[in-house]
Amino acid sequence: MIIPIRCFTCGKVIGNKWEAYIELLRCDYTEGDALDVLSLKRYCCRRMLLSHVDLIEKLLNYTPLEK
Amino acid sequence: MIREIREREIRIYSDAGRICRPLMIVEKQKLLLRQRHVDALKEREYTRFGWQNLVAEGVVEYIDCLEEETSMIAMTPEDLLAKDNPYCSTYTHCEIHPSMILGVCASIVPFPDHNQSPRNTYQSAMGKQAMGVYITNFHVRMDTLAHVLFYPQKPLAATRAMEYLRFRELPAGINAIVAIASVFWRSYRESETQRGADHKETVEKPERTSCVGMRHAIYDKLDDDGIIAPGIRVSGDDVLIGKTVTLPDTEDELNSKNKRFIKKDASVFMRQSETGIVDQVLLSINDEGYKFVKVRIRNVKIPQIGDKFASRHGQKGTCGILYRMEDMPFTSEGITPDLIINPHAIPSRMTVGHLIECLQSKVAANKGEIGDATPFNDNVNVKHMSEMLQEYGYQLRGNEVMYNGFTGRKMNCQIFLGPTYYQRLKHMVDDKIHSRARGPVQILNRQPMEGRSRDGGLRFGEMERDCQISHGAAQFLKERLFEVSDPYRVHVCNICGLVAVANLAEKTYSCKACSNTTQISQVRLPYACKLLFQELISMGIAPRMLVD
Repeated sequence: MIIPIRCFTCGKVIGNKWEAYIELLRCDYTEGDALDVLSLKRYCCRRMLLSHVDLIEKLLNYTPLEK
Repeated sequence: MIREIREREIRIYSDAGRICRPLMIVEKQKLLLRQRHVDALKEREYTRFGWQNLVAEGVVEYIDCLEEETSMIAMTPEDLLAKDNPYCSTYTHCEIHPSMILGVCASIVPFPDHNQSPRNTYQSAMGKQAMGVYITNFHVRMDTLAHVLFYPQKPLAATRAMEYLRFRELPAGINAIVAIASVFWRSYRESETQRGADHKETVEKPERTSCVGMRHAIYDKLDDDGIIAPGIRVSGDDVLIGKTVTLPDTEDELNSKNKRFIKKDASVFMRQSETGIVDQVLLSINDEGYKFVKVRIRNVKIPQIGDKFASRHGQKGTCGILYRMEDMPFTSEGITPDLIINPHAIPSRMTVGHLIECLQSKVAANKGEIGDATPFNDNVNVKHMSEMLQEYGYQLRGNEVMYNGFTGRKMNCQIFLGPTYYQRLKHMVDDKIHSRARGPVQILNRQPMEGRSRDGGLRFGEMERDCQISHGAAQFLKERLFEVSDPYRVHVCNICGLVAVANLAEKTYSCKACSNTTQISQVRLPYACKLLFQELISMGIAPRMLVD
């Protein structure tokens, strides 16, 4: 949904890395290289960004609180 | 269209919604698909040559299940090339890819070609119970019941069919770091449950001064308009929608005391044993002009002991224990497993795909690329994966040295550790937990109600009865089947054996037919038995109880 703040497994803060990750991907980095640049070493943190689906963007198409 | 030779019929089946699947057409043992088609597809941006053109040119056609019966389908184009094929020389079609045989549910399974086949069948049934984001506008919908996963992730080991099914866009699960070890387990996942209700009549706050039949509930939680406000925490038996029905004012005028009750309470209550926070209230008018109200309750459900989880290989289970992170075993990198499964789950079920998925996901996470788990793909194999894993500095089979979380001591053996896609299934203990000591009974036979929602009893069934009989536990049996079920007592005339009139307050007993006032016995029997006797009497059969 929205990027979690911490890695589920080891607790490293990864919430601040999502925007940078997307930016790197936009600059034609491969996912693996982008994760390396963000210095995500452990595979638990790498999977957090790699397998994340940013559904919040889609959910915001239907904003119930906006009146 | 099929030709039934024996019946000398040609059958044309053209129902809308019949299931078809695309196959490549084969003529004279050669695909009709030519190099020029493939070239045109590669240059799709310029030539605008796409799937529709393939269908239009008759290179590919849609075959339904009846036509499939009468066609010879080659699994791969290589099967056509094999000279002097002993099996078949009259192919009519060719599969686009062997994995295209699988349907929607089975396409979710990674490496199904490495699993025992019933396991893939189990997963195909179970994938439908997995939680995810089932639709992106779920927070405006008023579903009767919906489960939403907070952080769904796309699987690290995905099949190629998933791409076309859009499973990556709306996934249902999390890549948990799984250790296969006999220790204990835990996981991070949260979800919401929602419930709706609707009704008509007058929506207002019922007052105790003017309403009959009000329950022992807190009506104060309602707003002045008689509906609960969003953001209020509600629990079992709270009022959600205050509603009244106007009583017809008939002979009440004789009795001025009853006059003050002009309305009857008909409020909508929260289901017992359910709690949550009011999420949304919807007020509208239906097509008949009646006002209706829907209330949605939201509820966060953190995984707890007894909740059900499953991988994608028919490996389901319930959470046995939750541990804090510091009590879990850890690796030198500081990775603690999110979840631990028992190794005994593997050998008898033979889900090798589970282990390969774990290995593939571990490679994928290190490499930074979603791994391929498409079935019947010989380019993806364990040897290759192991080599890749070794390049990233891990043990080639995915094992890791771990340290005991309680003592910090190194464990004697290495543990198979890696990410595996896990699904949280919709069966959760909090929705099932139930107990009853006393409670409501059915009106007809006065036996306890059935079902958790009615605070019912648990059935002491035939098999349980057989068990107790074989133990000779007659007293216990009588208690289960009579004392705690539907005990009743009647007075029976000793002469005719039928139910007699008894006035216990005046201690007078009589059987009118026998003009008997002294020979009466009290009999205890199940209410269901008394009911049966009365039904028999109504049919003109006299069941006589001989009490001597």
